Amino acid sequence: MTLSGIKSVFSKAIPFLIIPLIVISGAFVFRDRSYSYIIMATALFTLILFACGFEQKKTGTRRLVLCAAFIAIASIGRVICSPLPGVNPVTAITVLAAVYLGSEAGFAVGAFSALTSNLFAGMGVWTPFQMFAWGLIGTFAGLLSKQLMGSRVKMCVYSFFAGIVYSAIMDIWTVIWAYNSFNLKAYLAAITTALPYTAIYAVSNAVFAFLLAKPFSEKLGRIKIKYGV
Amino acid sequence: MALIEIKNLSFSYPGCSETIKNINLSVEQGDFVALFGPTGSGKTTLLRLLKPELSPLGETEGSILFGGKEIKELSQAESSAIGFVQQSTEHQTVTDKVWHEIAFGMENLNYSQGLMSRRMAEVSAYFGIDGIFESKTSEISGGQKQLVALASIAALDPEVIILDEPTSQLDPISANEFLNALKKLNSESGVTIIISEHRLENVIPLCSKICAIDGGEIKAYGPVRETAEKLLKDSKMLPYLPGSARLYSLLGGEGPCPLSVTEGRTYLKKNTLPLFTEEKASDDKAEKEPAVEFKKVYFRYDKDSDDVLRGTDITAYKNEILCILGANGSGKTTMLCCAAGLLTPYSGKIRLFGKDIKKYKNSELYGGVISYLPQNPEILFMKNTLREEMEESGIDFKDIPFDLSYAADIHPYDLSGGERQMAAIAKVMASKPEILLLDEPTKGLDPKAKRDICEVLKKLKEDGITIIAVTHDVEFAALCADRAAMFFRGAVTCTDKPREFFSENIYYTTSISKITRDYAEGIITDNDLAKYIKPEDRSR
Amino acid sequence: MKSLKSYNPLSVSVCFLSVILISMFSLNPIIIMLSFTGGLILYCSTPYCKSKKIHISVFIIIAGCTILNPIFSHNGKTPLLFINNNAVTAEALVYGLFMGIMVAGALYWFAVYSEIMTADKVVYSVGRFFPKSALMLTLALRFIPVYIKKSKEAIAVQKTLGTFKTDSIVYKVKSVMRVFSVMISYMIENTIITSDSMAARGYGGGKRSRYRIFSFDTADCALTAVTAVIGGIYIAVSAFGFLDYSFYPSMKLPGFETAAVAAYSGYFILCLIPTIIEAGDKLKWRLLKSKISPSHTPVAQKQ
Repeated sequence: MTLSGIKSVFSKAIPFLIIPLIVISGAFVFRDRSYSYIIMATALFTLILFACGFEQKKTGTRRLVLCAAFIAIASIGRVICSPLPGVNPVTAITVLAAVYLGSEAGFAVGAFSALTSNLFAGMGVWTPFQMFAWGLIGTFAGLLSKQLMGSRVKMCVYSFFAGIVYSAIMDIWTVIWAYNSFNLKAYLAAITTALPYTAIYAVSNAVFAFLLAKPFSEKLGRIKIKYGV
Repeated sequence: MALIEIKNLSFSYPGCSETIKNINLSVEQGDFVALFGPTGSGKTTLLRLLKPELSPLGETEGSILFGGKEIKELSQAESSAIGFVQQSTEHQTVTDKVWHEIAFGMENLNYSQGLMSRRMAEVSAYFGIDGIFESKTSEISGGQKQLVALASIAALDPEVIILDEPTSQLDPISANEFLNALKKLNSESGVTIIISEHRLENVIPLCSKICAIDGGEIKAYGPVRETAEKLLKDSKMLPYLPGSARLYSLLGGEGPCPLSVTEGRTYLKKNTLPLFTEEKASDDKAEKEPAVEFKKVYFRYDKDSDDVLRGTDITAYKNEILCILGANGSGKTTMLCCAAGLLTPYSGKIRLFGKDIKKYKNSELYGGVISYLPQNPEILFMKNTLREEMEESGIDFKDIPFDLSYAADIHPYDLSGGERQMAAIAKVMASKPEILLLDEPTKGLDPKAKRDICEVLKKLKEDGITIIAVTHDVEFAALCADRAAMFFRGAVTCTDKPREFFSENIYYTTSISKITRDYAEGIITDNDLAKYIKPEDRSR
Repeated sequence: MKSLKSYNPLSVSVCFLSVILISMFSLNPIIIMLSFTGGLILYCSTPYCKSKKIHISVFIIIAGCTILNPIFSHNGKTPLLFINNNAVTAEALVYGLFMGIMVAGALYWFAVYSEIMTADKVVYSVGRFFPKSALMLTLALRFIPVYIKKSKEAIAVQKTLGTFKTDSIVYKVKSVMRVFSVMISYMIENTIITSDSMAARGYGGGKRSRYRIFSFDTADCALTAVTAVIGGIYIAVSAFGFLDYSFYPSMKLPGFETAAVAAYSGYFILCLIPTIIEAGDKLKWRLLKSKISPSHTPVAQKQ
């Protein structure tokens, strides 16, 4: 078997064998906080798998540049909005990018907006989780693009729930990280304390999606027709 | 065999009539070809057809051979021998660091690390950009960005570099620097250059051939002087030629056509000058009402930075066009922003019609007193067609002093530079202001569009509007200003009528003035020339 | 010795992330304290981090975790007092305290790490494994300053057009949306120029290479190797259960077997390595400067 053959078999085996192996064996090493480790490792590996998918899929140059532009504007939006707790346009822009450019693009915009904006807002343990959560929101929006496309209301509803899911993911992570087990009481407490934040976040997502949908779809539509993106 | 051979080339965009009509052209190795012609004549389309990756979608007939091979059939590596530099300095920069920008092309062609390091060292030293090697691309000037773009392509060892109006976004100094770098590439390394330009003044001395193009057809092509002489009779192409050639044409021209200021002066020396000097128009001493007054204005952006405006003192009178000239970074734009009330000076007074600008309410100031048009008018547009854009500002096409209705259904970003500038002027004039502030209104425009803008400004002036324009363009200022001012290091050094202003300036003046200044006073534009030449001489 | 900033971002990342991840996935109070101490020393000794505000956040985090944990967790054998029939236990209190210290330690480490990992280092590290994503990241980083500058211009223009009003919330939203709309046009239309510029320079043709501006030299190899060895020791010792610790049901001393002590000392060395590197760099320059002092440049004086 040639080297490249080994390489390809190896790369195919990674998702099915090696990753679960690392996750499970790691749980024995970091046994004090095995649950924290498992969710962290899972988030990271999912992220890596999605990123590998994005790397391998052929993206046209124009699409790639558009994704970068979306990432830039989402990051600026996030940094500008940072004084207002819970308000930022990242989810809305991710959803729009996903709907019009596909789910890989949605993943890329979501995940990398988190990374880029954290370059300015500050890196931390939360970075991979934010990347994971936003990347997921983008991926699903891309999968649902047929349903969401052309309907402002549906996009708003999706963004609204995406906001709730985002907060839920972040809370689950916080609780598991703090208690190394799923402490329901603490989780409910976390959700309740974060409720105003989540509410603002979900509503602002919907508002951003509502306001941005029209200009985005019109202007992207023109580019798609004129330059065949 | 010619390096590039274009045979019977025609091209049309989908659903449009032919943009390029039956063009035949051959470019030899080592040529420096300048392409010029009105906006929309098909220059960009032609240039893009020469670079396979950028070929526009549409119907092509005829053939383009590069080194004897059909251009569409070139491999990626072969095609990298054709470099392409675009107009926009800002958007053709791809990466955030200068080193990465230079490396970008080489990375795409899978160069090894060692080869990349060597090439990067070479081109950085060659173009003198090693000082900014690790800078961010957002922190270097437009001229430097364009040099970096050139270096990035030069690193790929191209045989030919195609440039689409590369200097149109640059100030005159950077433009010259860029052209010199091109010349160096051409003469020292034998790289073939094909460049499209609006103004040939600075390009012609570098060229071996020029090519005039209009309506998708080649009007004339060949060695510089020969071709220029052919075009002297063509009133549409004449404005593109250098000042000396225009002067030669007005004089009826004998012998070889002069193409530079030096040649123009020699020409005038040899041929007795049929110019006569008229007595100066008398100064109207009438008391004029000031519209915008700057009194010892000081401004800086940061507490710890240097002053940008250092005691600016200038007055724009009601109902005049005041042009402010000056180098990059002299504070012209800052001054304009202060006048527009967008920046507040820390010391000094700014008065609009005698009233302190601080005493105006925003709604009052921007609802009929002052309007400001920044350098790139594109940031005014957000709609899908010009019609929607005008409706959005509450303007009827009939109300504006120029015709744009023919372009009503065009997307603002698809308008030509001149049309876009006009539309932008219409938009900022919607609030019916008494003062209009313009930043570089002729940037990147062809001579015709420049003249149109000039006409528009004069019309607006007749309607009683005061106009302050900041510009690098001496020809434009000479043509349309009532007064011109020189800005230097944050203050006005002199203000004068354009005639005095430009005839007393030695370097910062129009080429016509440079040529004629020893023989006659106050001839600074083509119009002056036409006026001052005795009719009998003209027929000679 | 060179400063941390001139190390290859990959070797620095391996070192920092090992320290942070180990402390994050351990409950062992000694490991947590070592990580916190190392982070604090590094933060205070490096020239990069000047802000004193971080100490306030650290205090709030530690205090907050200590107070909040007993409210939600009633495990532990040693009740201190009862609130609403729920015991506030000493174990829960101490658990909260150490959680707080762990988070705070990670905060110091990340603060220094962010300072070292500038944008181009992040792009470099990502590009090592995900070249396409890294290119997209570079593009985004290129666009950000352009868009910020343009937005400012767009706001200025809208102001002078009289269409940017901030009098009421409705006006404010409308005005911001106008600027947004302008910016979306600007951004989408101009991506075409950028992608043309990429295509003109051969992008999208096939295999790409990557110019590496950071080299991986002996110092980087050494740093990576030391991290790997210490990390390996830690994993081995931890896998055999020597480092296990639990606050509940009641606190006890952490393990002090030979293996555990080896792991502790190894980890502490790992935590101190960045500080040592920085100190070494500082020392080197102090020595060099005294050598390059004017008295040692006689050429100019003789002439």
